[in-house]
Amino acid sequence: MLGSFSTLLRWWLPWAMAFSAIGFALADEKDALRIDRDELVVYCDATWPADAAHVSETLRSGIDVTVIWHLALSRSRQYWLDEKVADIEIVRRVRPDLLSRRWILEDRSTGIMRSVNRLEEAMAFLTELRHYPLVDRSLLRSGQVYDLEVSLQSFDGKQMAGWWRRVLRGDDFSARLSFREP
Amino acid sequence: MRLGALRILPLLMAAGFIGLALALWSDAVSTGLFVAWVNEIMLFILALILLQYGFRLFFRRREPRPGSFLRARLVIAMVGMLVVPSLAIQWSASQMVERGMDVWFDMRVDTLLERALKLAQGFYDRIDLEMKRSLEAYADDPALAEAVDGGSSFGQASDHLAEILRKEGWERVQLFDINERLVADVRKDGLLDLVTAPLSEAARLSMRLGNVTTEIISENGAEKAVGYAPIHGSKGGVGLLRVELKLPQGVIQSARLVEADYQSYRSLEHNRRMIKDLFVHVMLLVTLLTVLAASLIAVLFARRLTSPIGELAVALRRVTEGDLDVVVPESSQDELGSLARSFNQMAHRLRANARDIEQAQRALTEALANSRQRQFILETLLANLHTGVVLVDEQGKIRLLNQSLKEILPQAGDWKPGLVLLQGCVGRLGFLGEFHASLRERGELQQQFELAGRHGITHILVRGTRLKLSGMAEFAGELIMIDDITELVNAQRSQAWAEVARRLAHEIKNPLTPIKLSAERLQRRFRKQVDDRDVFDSCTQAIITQVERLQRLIADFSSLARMPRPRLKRVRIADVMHEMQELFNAYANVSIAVPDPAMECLCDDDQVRQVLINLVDNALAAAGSSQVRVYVRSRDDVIEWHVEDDGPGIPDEVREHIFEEYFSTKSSGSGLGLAIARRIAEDHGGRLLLVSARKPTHFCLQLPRESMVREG
Repeated sequence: MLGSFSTLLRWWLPWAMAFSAIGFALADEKDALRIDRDELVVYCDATWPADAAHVSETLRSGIDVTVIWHLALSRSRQYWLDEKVADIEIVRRVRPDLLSRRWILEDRSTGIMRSVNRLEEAMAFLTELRHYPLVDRSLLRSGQVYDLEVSLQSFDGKQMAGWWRRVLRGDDFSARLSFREP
Repeated sequence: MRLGALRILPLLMAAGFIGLALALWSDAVSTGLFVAWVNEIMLFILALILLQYGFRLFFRRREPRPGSFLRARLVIAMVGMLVVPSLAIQWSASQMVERGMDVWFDMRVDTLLERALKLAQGFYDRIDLEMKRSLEAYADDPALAEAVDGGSSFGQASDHLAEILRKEGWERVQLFDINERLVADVRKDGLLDLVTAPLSEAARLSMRLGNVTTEIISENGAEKAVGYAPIHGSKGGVGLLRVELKLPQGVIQSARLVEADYQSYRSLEHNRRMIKDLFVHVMLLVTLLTVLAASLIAVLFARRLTSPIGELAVALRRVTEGDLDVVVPESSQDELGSLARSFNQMAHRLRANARDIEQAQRALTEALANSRQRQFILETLLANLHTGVVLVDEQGKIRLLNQSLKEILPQAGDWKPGLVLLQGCVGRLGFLGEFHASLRERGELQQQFELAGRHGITHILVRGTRLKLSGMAEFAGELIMIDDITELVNAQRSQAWAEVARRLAHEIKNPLTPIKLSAERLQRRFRKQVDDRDVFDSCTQAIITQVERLQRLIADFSSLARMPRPRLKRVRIADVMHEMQELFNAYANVSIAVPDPAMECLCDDDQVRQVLINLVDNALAAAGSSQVRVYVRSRDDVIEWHVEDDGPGIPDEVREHIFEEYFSTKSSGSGLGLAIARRIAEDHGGRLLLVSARKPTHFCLQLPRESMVREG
């Protein structure tokens, strides 16, 4: 009995401590997340509670700010892995034009680019997803429960690239929402 | 460093690594530096390895393997020698980076860049301001309002726009109606486009909101300022005046470079902490890799170094436990290899020595066993020898003596090895001292002595020889052997007397009967014829009486000479004592005690009765009217027949001779009674003792309960 306890301590305690610490460090933040539906599409509204002073100061300093929204919709299953329905990545970037005092807004997912004069517009462009079409309702099953996970990573200046970005760089914001498809 | 501290050292180091990892975790999260995460992973892996090793070490109860303590100390020393300077270098480098950053991000550079940016922005602001001012002036131009309303032809409108273009120095002037259709278009040089580009978002907002606005558009590396002014026609129509001004390439490039430098500077300043973190993490990574590599090298080196030492320690322990067949591998040619070779040689010599010792021990054990065997045989021989033996060394000290000596010479009862013989030879044993002195002079001697004792005279035969042993057991001394030959002497004397008695009986007995018959015939025939009848009667009677006495004497002699062997049978002692009671019933002073009827003895009852009668007769003759007591005692395996009387006793000068043949104090006695009684006792394997010479005079006949008949 004592020997098995000793073995437990010697072999498994360090690993248990390590994984507990990592799990604690990677715990999700909870924030408001909302969905909206019409007859055909499920929309998503999400807001990143960013440090507005930091973002605006960064932009005013002439430094690009990039945000990467990651939206994952999956069907919840009790005895099997959840079924992924939608996995969307939205990359938005605000590039300051210090000479003309304008903010160039780039949606890299669609390639659309425009410029605005007001910083608030640029901030909203970065921090808010408004009525974003998430998924075609024809892909959803009636009566099933779906989990929506939204996470965001922000980068000042150069954006980290590569698959390890999400592994090494923690999310600046994440939220989860479950809903049942009528 | 003590073993206890070594046990918890890995746990402490693991705690340190975990603490460092947790302290840097927030940095890794905020900066997102790849190297920071690598550091985190390495720190956790190192901590886990140390934790696992530490727990294993902490909970281990058995003794550590030989050499592990030295190995741990070597690793700690080597890693410590590397870690301390590495940490110092890291700290110094981080300080240098901190100071360097303070220099790089100096306030003057900041101010300079700020001013340069403001200068560039001033250029753009001036262009924007002048363009807006000019456009606001043309917003109320009636010609343009008419053209928007459709009141002028394309040519008229184009002429007016060309005039504006020439006046303001713009590159291109366009006029759109409310439906964003091009009304007129003029440009400074080049041909007009066949297809008009759609209005921008800013242009539409300007037209809808009624604001004059401008924007900067970049095309093919060049920039142009574009301004929009809403034109309101008199008939309610709305149009848009769009003008373009190509910015000077040189100025634009310079301004954009200033902007880029400013952004780079701000970006660097913004990432100042991250740069520092990057540097710190890179340094930490290098330090960790160095420590890891150093640890691995230290472990390998220490293992390589301590492995032979551990093998030596194990081998030494096995040698200590008695295993001399151990061999240490001689792998290297260095000092450790030399040590291993020396150890193997030592073990080989130890094996050889152990083998020799074992052989010697075996031989010694065998010799000792033989010696002990010889000693045991000698001791047993001496113990069972009836001859008394005493060995005296050159200093006259007793070296060896046996029990028989003390039995023959009771006066030597307190003798023991180490005693000087002369000191022990006092009193009656004085003869032995004289014998020893004579023996020393002659070398070999044999003498016979008579010792007077309570039970009579003891005849001692003493033989001695001088010993001179050489070799390993060098010894010089004298060996004296003492034999009790009393019985032999008595037997010889008895034999001699028996022979004399037989011859006397043979020669005297024959003439005695005719003498007696003749005397009786004389008495019968010539008594009436003699004158003096009284004298005749007394003389003839004297002859007859003396002849009868001689006949009895001769009969005694005959019985001594022809003493028959006892006819043993199991006799009830009570019966013998009853017969004795009847026999001496007439004597009131004789008391005979009858023992338990169950008491028996294996003996010849006639001979025993003869001895008892002899003893009681002697007692009655000596005691007169004094009390005579006869009784029997049983002790161990001996039956004791006691005869006591309260008479005057036996004089001392007579006492030593009472058992001798033909010794008698009575005028009519033959002197054979006690001799015969003693002979009967000895023929039964017993003895006849004078227990007490007077008060009371006490004789004891001791006979064995079972048969111990002496061989003829």
